[in-house]
Amino acid sequence: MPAGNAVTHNGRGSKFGGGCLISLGIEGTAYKLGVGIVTDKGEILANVSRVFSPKKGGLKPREAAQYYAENISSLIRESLEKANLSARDIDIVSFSQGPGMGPCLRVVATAARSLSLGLGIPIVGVNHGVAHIEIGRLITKLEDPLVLFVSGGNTQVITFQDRRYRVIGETMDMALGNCIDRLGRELGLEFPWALSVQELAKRGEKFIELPYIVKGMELSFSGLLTSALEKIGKVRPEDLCYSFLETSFAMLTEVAERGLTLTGKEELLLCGGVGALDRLKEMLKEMVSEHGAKLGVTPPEYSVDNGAMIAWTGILYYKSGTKHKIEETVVKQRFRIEEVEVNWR
Amino acid sequence: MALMSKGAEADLYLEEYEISPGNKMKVVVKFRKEKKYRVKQLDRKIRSTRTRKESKLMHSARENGVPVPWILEVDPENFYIVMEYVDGKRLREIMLSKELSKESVNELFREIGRIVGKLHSSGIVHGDLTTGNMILSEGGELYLIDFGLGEFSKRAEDFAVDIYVLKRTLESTHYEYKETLKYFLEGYSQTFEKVREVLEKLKDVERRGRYVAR
Repeated sequence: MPAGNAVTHNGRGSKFGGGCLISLGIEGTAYKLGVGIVTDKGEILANVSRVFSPKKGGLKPREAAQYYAENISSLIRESLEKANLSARDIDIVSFSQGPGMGPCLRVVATAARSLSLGLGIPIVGVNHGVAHIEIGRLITKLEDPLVLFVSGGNTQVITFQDRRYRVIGETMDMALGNCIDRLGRELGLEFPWALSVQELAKRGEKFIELPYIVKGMELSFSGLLTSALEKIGKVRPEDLCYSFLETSFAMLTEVAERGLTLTGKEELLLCGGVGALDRLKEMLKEMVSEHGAKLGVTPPEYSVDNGAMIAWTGILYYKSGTKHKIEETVVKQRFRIEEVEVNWR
Repeated sequence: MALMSKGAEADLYLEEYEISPGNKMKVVVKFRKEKKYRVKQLDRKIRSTRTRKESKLMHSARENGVPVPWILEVDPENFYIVMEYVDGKRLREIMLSKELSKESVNELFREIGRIVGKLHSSGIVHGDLTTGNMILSEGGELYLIDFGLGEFSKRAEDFAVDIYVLKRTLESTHYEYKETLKYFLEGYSQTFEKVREVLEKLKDVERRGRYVAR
């Protein structure tokens, strides 16, 4: 940020109780582009998104990025309208710096940089995983939870220790959300595939045995997926979806349970897009109740990729002294959560 | 049956076991609990597979000269293992109460190093190598217990994680004994050949900082 552009508060004191900071966050790591506007009091003023849905086959990063580029300006405008603000009211801009798909990340970073330079406000590059956790903590009010983060690109058990979020359990191969999508696609279901798989699974009757692979805190889903794909056409799709979700969710619940025992934490936070699926919540609820622990689930709007989580985490970064120079806003496709020093907790 | 301890996956019971008429011994029964969150069919499969695997790991470790409790009975269909009760104390308690001199503890870790070296040489990873899973018997012998997270493996990285977990236990729970790892490694290199490779991997594991100390 250029010198001399010291940021002052926007002056919207009358509406937001005075002295508050307004952050606009842009999320775009996979196929959802989101823009959120949040105050430092944790009020979410806007959270809008658009989804790139591929016409055929899987998610193509370049096509998604193209879609982002076409939509980002109008989505930012839409968020401002929703929040009833003008661009000048924004105090900081934040964006998802990674991990994610390179072409998508770059579009988002570019948009954030132009806002920062154009409006003369600080820019903060935020870790996507940290953002999922922080919006979850904000909304569920959990203090120090063990985190189960399950989405299209991530499957991790995360704990907070020594000023960092640390991954203590993880998939050794594919992310679960990706596997569920793949199954839905191969079955010819409609996008969003995960919800379609869930719908079919609810009508499942017969449990089909599929590979269940958990080693301590490590999970593996690729064998499960391969085996499920081989069964397409040979068993009822309803039974296949049911068995797939039962098996994979039991694996997640097992590592979450082991994680609770290992860390001694008394709260569990479920976040990430897969957290929107009912059966997973049900299993985790059953498990934590046996441990006398508490389960917090980020509601769907905030558990899928969204802009509000980036905006809120941008505030946390900024208030604890982190803002980035433009040259520090290079995207990081493989941005590990442990790299972030958490100065706000 | 008297409940000894409750775990996330299994409970331990202390029991009398008749090995021959009139000849009883104390045993521990490890019972893998039902998990209501998963479908019955899957739950039974997991519990029986793991019961079988744990007993295989322990059996194989024992055959390779690693002191582990002797297994008397395995019943995968009913999800339990009956094993010898080792009369003694967990090393964790011994170290916390400081009933042994530092020199004796160091000597003990040299022995633990030799034991873990044998374990790794036979292609077994313990999976949870903390002082809470080591028993010093009344007769002064050291036993490794709880192979519930164990694996058959020949990967240097898996061995490194065992050592990492032990190192972290020394640093956090027993921080006065930080330098004790040196003695462990001395013993370890007497019975295990690929020490250098494992220590190389240990650096990677530490950099990732993925594993939490307890």
